Amino acid sequence: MSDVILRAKGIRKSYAQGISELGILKGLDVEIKRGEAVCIVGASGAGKSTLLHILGTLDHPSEGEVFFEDDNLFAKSEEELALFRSAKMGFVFQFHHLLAEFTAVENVMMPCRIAGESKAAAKAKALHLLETLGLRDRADHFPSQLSGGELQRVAIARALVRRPQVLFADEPTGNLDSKNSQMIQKLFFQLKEQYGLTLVVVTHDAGFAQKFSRVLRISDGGWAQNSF
Amino acid sequence: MKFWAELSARLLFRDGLKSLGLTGWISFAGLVIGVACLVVSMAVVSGFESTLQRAVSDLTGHLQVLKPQGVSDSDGDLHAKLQQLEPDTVASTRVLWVESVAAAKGKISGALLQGLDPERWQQVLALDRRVIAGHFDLGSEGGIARAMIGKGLAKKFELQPGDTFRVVVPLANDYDPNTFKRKVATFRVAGILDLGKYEFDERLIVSSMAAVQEVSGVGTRYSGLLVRLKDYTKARESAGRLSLAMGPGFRVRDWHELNENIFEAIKIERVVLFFVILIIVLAAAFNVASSLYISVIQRYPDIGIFKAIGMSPRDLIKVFSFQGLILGLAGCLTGFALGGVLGLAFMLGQNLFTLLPGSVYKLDHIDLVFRFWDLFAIFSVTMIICGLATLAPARQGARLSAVEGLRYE
Repeated sequence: MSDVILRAKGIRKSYAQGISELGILKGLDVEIKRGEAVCIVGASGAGKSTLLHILGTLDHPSEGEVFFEDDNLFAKSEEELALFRSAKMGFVFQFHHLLAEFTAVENVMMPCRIAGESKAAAKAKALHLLETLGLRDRADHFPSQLSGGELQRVAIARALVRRPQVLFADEPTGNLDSKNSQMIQKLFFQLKEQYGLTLVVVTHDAGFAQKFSRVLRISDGGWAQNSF
Repeated sequence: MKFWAELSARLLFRDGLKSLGLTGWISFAGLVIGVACLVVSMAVVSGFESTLQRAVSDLTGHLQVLKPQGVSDSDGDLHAKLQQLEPDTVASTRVLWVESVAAAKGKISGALLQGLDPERWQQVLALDRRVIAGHFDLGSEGGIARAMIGKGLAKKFELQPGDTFRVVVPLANDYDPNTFKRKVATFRVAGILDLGKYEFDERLIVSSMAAVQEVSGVGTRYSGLLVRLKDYTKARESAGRLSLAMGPGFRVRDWHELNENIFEAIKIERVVLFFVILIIVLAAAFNVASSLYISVIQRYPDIGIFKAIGMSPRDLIKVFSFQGLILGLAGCLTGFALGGVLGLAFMLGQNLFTLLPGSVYKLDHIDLVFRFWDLFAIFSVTMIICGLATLAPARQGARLSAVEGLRYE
């Protein structure tokens, strides 16, 4: 098995702006190894989230390719990509994006149910994860009844319930107070070890970024010199 | 239950359907009214058809085997001949029709005398169930024959059971074609019939074969046979077969042929009415679709998440189209219920007001008939329209990229 789990080649992303084009990413290459914890930093609008979305197949690059192991991801159809994401990738966003009409446990069960798992099996997995994250007693609460930190932990549980190989997080602490932010940061590294995850995180938080073994800095659509 | 169906219903019924919004509810009401209109109009058309068919069959059977010059003894046993020639025959009875003038209480009116075989008519006709006053009796008392009369005639002459009236039959003068003789007989009203068809009610007098033969001076001759078949829907085929078998002296007519124009008009009317009223359903379904479209737009962030956690575009289309089908189903069922209530109101209204002038529509009262196939057609077409109308917003949702959805807030 190759050491490199995710490889991006010549990623370009631009948006049409009237008759001109606005280039966000200008030919980025990156390799991420299995089990690595990578942090992407950079100024606002530098293209961090765009890159994360492209690596996670949530967005298509204007040019370039992304390989998961040896699998060319953007050669797949939308249906195949959905299946792929369901099996291999998990996502946590700045806003929790939990469904308001479902309880915490039902939100966590959602990826399993979409993947066709039975209700009972999905619920067992979801409850186990919520217990791991200290939310067992909040399982039947609706998002409106949970605090910011709890909401983000439920979102993390939802991202992990299918046991993904790569966990992508876009500003996961950006919307939290410092206490909750610390707790979530700690949780990420704990879960990485526990589940053998590859972690790709975008953050503005310098303290959080320092905890990663590798920090990639984006500047003006390319890698800055001090990325390591 | 598939997960996408469960998800679709949960998303639709969040906060007790508040997500539909006022415009959504108005669209839904439009759908219900459209379906209800379709249900009632189809029930009215079907009811008109079956009421007319029953009125004709009750009085004249499924088939009429007639001889224009009259059937005489020399024609042999027509009943036996008929049984032999048409195996679908259940029973037959002799009939004699004579044009006449009825007179009572200083009034006169054209009338049709129908003479029936007292022993056999019940095997063929269902006149006894149409008695609204008195009782069915074709006997005689003190030399006066009893007769059943249509309710229109009874009203015109202000006749009640037990009253007498006279019937004048013009007879051709064998010696002078420019004049005619007349024969007069007195009848006693035994009962009054609601024959279901305006012209029957206004003109018909039913009495025994012997009494009608006597007043018309035809001796033992009669017009022909009224026939009851195993299946009235096959009367046309039976009529065709019998027409050939009986020979040129006889004329065979089925219940449909007697009112061919009306039945054919009903057939066309049914199709036209269905499609015209379907426009209401169509417009309402598109309104429902536009409400769903708004709901899809409000769901953009959720759609982004669904995609991120592995939901395929195909499943997303299913989720949102299914909402259209749920609304279509709810609209259909509520529309059926409302249609039933409106139908009931129509039936009650018929008793209280003259909704159908008999002189115009031939019938002054119709029983609504909710046919399974009418309801099935309404249900299927409504569901197809709702499914197709909501496909566009569903596809719009499915086409949205995950990132666009997540950014939408």
